[in-house]
Amino acid sequence: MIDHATEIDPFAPGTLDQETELAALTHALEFASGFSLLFVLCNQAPQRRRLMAEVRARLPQFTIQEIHFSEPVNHLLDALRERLTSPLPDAVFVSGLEHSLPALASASTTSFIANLNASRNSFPQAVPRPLVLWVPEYVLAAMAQGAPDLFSIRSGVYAFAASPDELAGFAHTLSAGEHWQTHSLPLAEKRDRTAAIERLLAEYETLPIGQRDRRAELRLFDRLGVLLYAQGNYPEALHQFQRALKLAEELGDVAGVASSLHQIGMLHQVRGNYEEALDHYQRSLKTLEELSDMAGVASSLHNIGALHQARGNYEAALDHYQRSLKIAEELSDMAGVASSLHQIGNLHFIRGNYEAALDHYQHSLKIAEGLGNVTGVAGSLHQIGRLHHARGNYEEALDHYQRSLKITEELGDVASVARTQGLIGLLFSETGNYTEAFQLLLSALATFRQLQSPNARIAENSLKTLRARWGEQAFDAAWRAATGEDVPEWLQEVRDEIS
Amino acid sequence: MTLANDHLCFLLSGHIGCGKSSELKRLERALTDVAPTEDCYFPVLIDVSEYLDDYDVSVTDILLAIVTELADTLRAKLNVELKDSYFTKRLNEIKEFFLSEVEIKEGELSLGSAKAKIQRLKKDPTARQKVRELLEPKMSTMLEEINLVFEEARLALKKQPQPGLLKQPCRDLVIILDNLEKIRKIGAVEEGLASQRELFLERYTQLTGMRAHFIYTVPLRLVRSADGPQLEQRYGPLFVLPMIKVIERGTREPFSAGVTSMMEILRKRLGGLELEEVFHAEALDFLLIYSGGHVRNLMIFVQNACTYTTTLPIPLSAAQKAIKQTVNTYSSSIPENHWGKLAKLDLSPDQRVPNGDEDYLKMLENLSLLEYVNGGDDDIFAKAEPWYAVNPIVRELKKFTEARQKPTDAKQS
Repeated sequence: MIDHATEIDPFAPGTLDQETELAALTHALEFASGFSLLFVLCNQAPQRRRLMAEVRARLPQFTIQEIHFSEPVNHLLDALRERLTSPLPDAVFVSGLEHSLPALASASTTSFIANLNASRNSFPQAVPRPLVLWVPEYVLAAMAQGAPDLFSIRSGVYAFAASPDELAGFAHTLSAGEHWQTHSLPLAEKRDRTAAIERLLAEYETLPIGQRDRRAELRLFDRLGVLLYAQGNYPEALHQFQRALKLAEELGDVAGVASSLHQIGMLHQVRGNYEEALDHYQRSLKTLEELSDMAGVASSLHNIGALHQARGNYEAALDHYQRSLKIAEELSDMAGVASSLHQIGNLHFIRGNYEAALDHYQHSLKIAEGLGNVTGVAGSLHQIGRLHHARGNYEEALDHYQRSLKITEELGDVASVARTQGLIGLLFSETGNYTEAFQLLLSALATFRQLQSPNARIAENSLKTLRARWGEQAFDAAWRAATGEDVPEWLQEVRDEIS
Repeated sequence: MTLANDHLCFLLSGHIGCGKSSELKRLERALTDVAPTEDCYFPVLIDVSEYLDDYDVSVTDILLAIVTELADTLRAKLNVELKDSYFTKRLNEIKEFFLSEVEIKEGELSLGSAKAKIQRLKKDPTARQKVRELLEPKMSTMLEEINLVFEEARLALKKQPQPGLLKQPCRDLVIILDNLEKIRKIGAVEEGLASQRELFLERYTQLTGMRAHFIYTVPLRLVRSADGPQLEQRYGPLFVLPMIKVIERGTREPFSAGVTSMMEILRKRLGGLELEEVFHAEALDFLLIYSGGHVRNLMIFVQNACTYTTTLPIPLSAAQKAIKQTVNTYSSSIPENHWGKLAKLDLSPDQRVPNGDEDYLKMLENLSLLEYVNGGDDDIFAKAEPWYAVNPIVRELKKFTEARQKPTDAKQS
């Protein structure tokens, strides 16, 4: 039950919780007599379908006609006139308008938007019913800007944030590109290098004090940390970076201190300790600026951007990515350019601007391919898969996921493997392949827990959803067969509320 | 109009959703609903968006709309059929472009029955283009002929009307063009302000060359631009509908007379319920304050607030939720370089907008800046002068408060 009395901060941008918005939308439909124009902001196709089903379930007495456009339409009103049933339904849901709008910043000046604005007075007569336009964020923005007269006759806008168990999770965040070469080594070679460095370090440590090369040891700690990080061995990686930090401090090597702080920041970030990560990045950034190490500054800005993104501060994130991008361009650091583009693509994705997101991913993908940066390639494929997934193009999505997974498995990049498995699991859960979905989500969950990743919670939610879809009996039997244990408490609780 | 010995032209402007159309409808009623001793005027209210494609307009389209609507109104209200032959002929020359074969076979198209058919041109760019090709070379003749149509109409108005149609004979015609300010593109001219300049300033001889009283709605953005003063010289008196003044100029203290009239507007729409039954006091205050005196915004907020509650009176929390999406729209759509300017205006002692700054014109258009009048105390000039206040919702946003605290933005002059 929703608590209507709860006061909110009305001036902080953001969305209300799903239950509040669903109740309000349902109310608005019940109240409406004749034409009324409602907007529902929802970026993802599967979520949209689920919400539509939910509204129907809450209004069983209502006839609702769903009109989905999978092709561009030039004139919405005419297109609706052709499709409306007779007798008229009690309400009309329209989706797929994003196909009629290019991704460009000029979306608001297209003929589709112009026609929409010009035909505003004819809507009440042609559709004397509540008309609900389900649109992603960028389409809403284009309409508000380009069709202000139509927008001003709206009765309401209801917004739904992506829920944490869905595509919002498992995003592939590309960190700054500085170690892409290490990350792109095949797993066998990573193991080889790791073993070789460990041997070397052991030998250094056996040398008499006078003969030890502390600077070489510092370089080796750092290198070892990067290799371990690339294999998802976070505790060991952290240990090596901490050793490096301590040594750099002893040596008075400010550049080394900055580098270690940056790496430690990344390890906090992957575990969701954002405050600590930010603290480390900022300390590192300060030194790098003093040293005029522009490549390092770009990496810091990039990762701080990713932190802002993880906390939902999208504008701050964009600002950081753009600053990082500018430096990388000046330095002709193409890997840096590619990772900034990737992250800017992620921001477009979050706003539902899929075309712009795709543009960025493809650009990033092309650079990564040119460099032989396979880890970047895998990241782009993963995200392009998510795009198709969000649009409901399951085949395309699966194809991209599998190509990404093939690469990350070869690289031993367990974190990326788990993310992609999680998404394939979600996809199968949506398409009814429950057994496969179960195995993938369970495997992803195990990895995320081992990595202490915040994605673990998302995987748990996905499993709860799967249990609801599949049926408790079948799910529980599969659980017992796979784990040899009874279904744990957390699976029987209701899904976490949307954060 | 009664005192004037020539035809007059008036301009009406104001923010989107400030009530222009409602005022024009009121005027339409008031013109015929007069005491026997007063002069009666026959209004023809044309919603041009029924005829024009905002993004592709030519002056001939507007003239055609005027003639068609006039003929239709005369037929509907007075049972008068215009006998004009010029436009009837032209219509029948162009009818093949927008009539079906069946309709063409039905014979001659009369002016009085052409409205629905002419309106089809709005959605048929090809037909529209062909019609223009035929009519544009005849523009000066068209203007002459339109004036003849007006003469014919006036003659009909001065005759004693049939019982039940009008109280008394009408002295003249008043042609009202509503939604004309929404036109975005004229011919090949660039969209937006440039097109609006083209229509209202470059082509003004056509709009002012017709012999009847005219009222045109013009975009506020053009009125407040550097070219604004020319409008009044070329047309005549300009009326700007301001926001209802709900706060005092400068201090932003509530202005009780304005708040009371907003409450009155609301009360009339409550279907007999009392304000107290519908709103918790703090919810009502919240909605009134954050409407900024903009009537349509207030109505949208109220409608929206109703959906966030299951019981009446509406609690504050529902009112707060109702403005959430407006908050989101403003915080994501206001261009970065506007925040400093908004802050500067907010901090300025006189709340005036620097002349010729296009950014401020954009702010007026997207309602981040609202226009008020009656800000002065006793000075009659200050009293009539418009002043501006940042939209109260925009004022609460983080980006605004940050910009307001930045000394550099505030000091720049």
